[in-house]
Amino acid sequence: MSIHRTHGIVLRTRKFRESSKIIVFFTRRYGKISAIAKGSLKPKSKFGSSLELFTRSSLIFYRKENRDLHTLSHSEILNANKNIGNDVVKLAYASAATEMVERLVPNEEQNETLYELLDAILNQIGVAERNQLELILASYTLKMLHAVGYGPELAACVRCGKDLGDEVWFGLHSGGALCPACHKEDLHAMEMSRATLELMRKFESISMARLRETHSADKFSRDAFDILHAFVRAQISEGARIRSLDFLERMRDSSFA
Amino acid sequence: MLGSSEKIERLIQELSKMPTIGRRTAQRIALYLLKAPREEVTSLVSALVEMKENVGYCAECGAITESDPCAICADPKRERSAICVVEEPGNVMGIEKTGEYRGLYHVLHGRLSPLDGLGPEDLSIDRLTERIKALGVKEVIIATNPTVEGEATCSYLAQVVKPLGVKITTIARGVPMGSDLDLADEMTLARSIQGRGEVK
Repeated sequence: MSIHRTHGIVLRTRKFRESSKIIVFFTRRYGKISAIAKGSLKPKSKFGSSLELFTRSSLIFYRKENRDLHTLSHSEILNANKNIGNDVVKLAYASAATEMVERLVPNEEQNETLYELLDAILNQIGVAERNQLELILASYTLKMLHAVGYGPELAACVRCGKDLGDEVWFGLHSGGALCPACHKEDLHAMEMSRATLELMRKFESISMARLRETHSADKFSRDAFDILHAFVRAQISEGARIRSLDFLERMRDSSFA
Repeated sequence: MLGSSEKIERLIQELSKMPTIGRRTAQRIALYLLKAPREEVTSLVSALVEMKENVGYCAECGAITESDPCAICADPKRERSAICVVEEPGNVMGIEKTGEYRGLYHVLHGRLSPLDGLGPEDLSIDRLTERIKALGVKEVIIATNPTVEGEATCSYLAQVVKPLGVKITTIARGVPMGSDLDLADEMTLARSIQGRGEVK
């Protein structure tokens, strides 16, 4: 057993026995890890509120080789992302951002780019207006896909390499944009507008903070959101679900938020 | 099966369905029950059946009860002008133990949780608004857990209840009794400052 220090963001928590919690973190140095925080549900626990969802904390944990569950010994809040809990809509977007990472990334694979990206999206969700959330989550999703190695090809047709015209499809199984000649080869191709393709290309080139300042949500950002999340779902194992994305869709179709 | 029996295997499978009980724990319980005196096992079985046949949820507030409506909803001495909203039935027992509250309760049976796929339609929210209107409630005390999802549930409920024109309060959040301010984290202290009260 060895002792390790790192920074980590809480992706998920679940109660364990009477007063403990098991927390899934995405950490800067070790990627996705699970750790048990003994006694963390007791009111006077030393962990305080540092193990709440979306909180970024500095962590000290005991790592057990060849084990999936480590033991957390200390955590201290660096950023509580406290604006997220005040609004169920922000909670839903932040949950989708973290759950996608949880589902797509294997345990203990360091990915500092993804760590920075996750930190950035949670900060952005905290400060964004409700009507900007769809746009910035779509942008984050594309950046995240690139960071974990599933980035779709958008510069040219992913199958034949030809330039793309006004008629464009997105091949969920091909992994990127398709020209009119190639889209029939992919049974799971979704039609998209040229404007949606241009918006996705913009997602690749500018930061989420900049995007929030310069763009507003429209039909194309909605389409990009839907296509990119269909693509994320196509990458996870069959039958598995990303519940927060399902929740976001239900929320969009109802009047509850 | 060598070294075991189909009947023990069946019991292990049934026990493994329960929360926090894995196969190994289920096996330990099964072997304990095999060794235990017959009366102890019979008593356990009758306790399980009796609980299942006689205990349920109050149709009014959703708390655990053996009679419907529950003793709290049926008690004419309880104040009907206040409803305390909690996430789980166990929370009612906790607040009752304090002896500080004399109003009614409403159990949501969960909290809003996108990660677990739980939305407003999965919680007892429509029933809450019906009760507020029917009872002429003047104050709704939201006592969801002090977690991110509990806080979001609280703010959502406040949004739903506000148009009904009742006073909405939450239980105080912050530093626990007997602890030290030096040891409290920034979130806990921030909530204590936000929810500060006048000294009486």
